[in-house]
Amino acid sequence: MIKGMEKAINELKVLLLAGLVVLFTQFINLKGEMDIAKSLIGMVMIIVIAMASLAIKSLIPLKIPAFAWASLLALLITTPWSPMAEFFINSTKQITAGQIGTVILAVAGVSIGTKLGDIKKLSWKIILVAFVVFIGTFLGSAVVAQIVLKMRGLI
Amino acid sequence: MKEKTEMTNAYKATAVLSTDGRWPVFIKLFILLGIVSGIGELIGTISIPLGPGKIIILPMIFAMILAVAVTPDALGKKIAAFENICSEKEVELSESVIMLVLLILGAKLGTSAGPNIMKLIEAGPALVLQEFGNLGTMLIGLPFAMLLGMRREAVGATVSICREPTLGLISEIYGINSPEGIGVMGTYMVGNLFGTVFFGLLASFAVMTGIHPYALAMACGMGSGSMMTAASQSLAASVPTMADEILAYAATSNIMTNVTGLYMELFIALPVANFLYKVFIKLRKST
Repeated sequence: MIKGMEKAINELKVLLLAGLVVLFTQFINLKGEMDIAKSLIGMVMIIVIAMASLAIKSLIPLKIPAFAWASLLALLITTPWSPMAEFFINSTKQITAGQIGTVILAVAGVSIGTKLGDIKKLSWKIILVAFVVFIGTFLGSAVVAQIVLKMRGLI
Repeated sequence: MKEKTEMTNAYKATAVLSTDGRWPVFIKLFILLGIVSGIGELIGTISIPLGPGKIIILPMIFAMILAVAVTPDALGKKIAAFENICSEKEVELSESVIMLVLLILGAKLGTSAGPNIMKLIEAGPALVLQEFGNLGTMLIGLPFAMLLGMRREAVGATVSICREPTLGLISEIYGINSPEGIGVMGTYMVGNLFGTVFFGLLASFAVMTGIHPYALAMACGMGSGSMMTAASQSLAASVPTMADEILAYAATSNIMTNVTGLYMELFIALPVANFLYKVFIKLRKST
C-alpha cells in the first residue's frame, strides 16, 4: 500500500513537470497570446484525469492501457449531457493535441538515445517489412471504414 | 522466473521515477524537453507542395530530431559537452516518462470526442468494423516478409503494428528471444523510430487516394497514441475544414483499438497469421 502511494506520488510529480513543459510549448506556439490562468486550471484537470486513469488501470484486472482509460474518462466528462462539459472544454481549449504531441515526440526522441546501435544492427529488411505493415493496417482500416460509411450514407 | 523479471522491472520503474537525490536528472530532462519542443514550435509547420498534395512536417518532428541529436549515442558520442546535458540517466528516465505524458494526450483527445459523441454513435458500425481492417497488416505484410527470406520472425513482425500490447502478448506466448519475439521487436523499434514520421506522411498522402477524410481519420487510430497524433494532425492540416471531426474520429478509433486490439490479436490476428504462415511455407517448399 505504501509502495503504491509512493508510486502514485512519483507519477504525479512527473505529470506536473510534463504539464508545465506542455504549457510552455503551447505558450510558444501561441506566440505568448495565451490565457495562462485558464490553461493552468485546464492542465490540472487533465492531470487529475491522468491520475484517475492510472488508479483504474491498477484496480481493474483487464489488459486495457491507462491511455484508453484517460481518453474514455475525458470523453464522458465532455459529452453534452455532462454538467462539467462546458467548463472542461473551455479551460482546455488552449491546450492542443498537436503541442502535447510535440512534447511526446521530444520524449520519444530522448528515449531511443541509447538504442541507436541496436537499431543499426537490425537489417534493412525489417524496416521495409514494418513499412509494409504500416501501410497495410492504415489502408486496410481506411478502406473498410470507407465502405461502411458509404453504405450508411454518411459520406 | 518470469515473475521474478516482472518484479524487478516494476521495482526498476519505481526507482527510476523516484526523486530521492535525483532532482537534477528530472530538472535536466524536463528543461531539455522544453527547449527542444520550444525550438520545434518556433520552426513551426512546414508544408511542401508535392504533386497534387503536400507533405506536412509538424513541429513535433523537428522536436524529435533535435531530441535524438542530443542523446549519448548521437552527438553525445562526439562532443563531450552534450554528455553533461543528456546522459544515460536522462534517457532512462525518459523511457518511464513517456507513458505518463501520453496520458495527458489521452485526456485531451477524449475532450475532442466527447462533444461529437452523436456523430460518433452514428458512425459506430464503421468504427467497429474498421478494426478488422487492421488485419490488412498481415495479409500484405506476411507474404512480403517471407519473400524477403524471413521465417517465423515474419509472424511476429506482421501480426499487427506491434505496439506495447503486442510486445507483451507475443513475449508471453513465444518468449521475447524467440524468432517471433525478435520479429515483434523489429517492427516495434522501426515504429518507435520512424512510425510517427511515416504515418504523418502517409496520412497526408492518403488524401489523394480519394478515400474520404472521415474514413482516413478512423484509420489513424491504430492503437499508438503518438502515431495516431502524427497521422491525424497531418490529416487535419491537409483538410482543415474537417479538422474537428478528423481528430474526434481518430481519437475514438484509437480508444476502440486500445480496448479491442489485444483481444483481436490474440483470437483472430495470431491464428490467421499462423495459418497463412503454414500455407506460404508449403508454397515456398513446393516451388
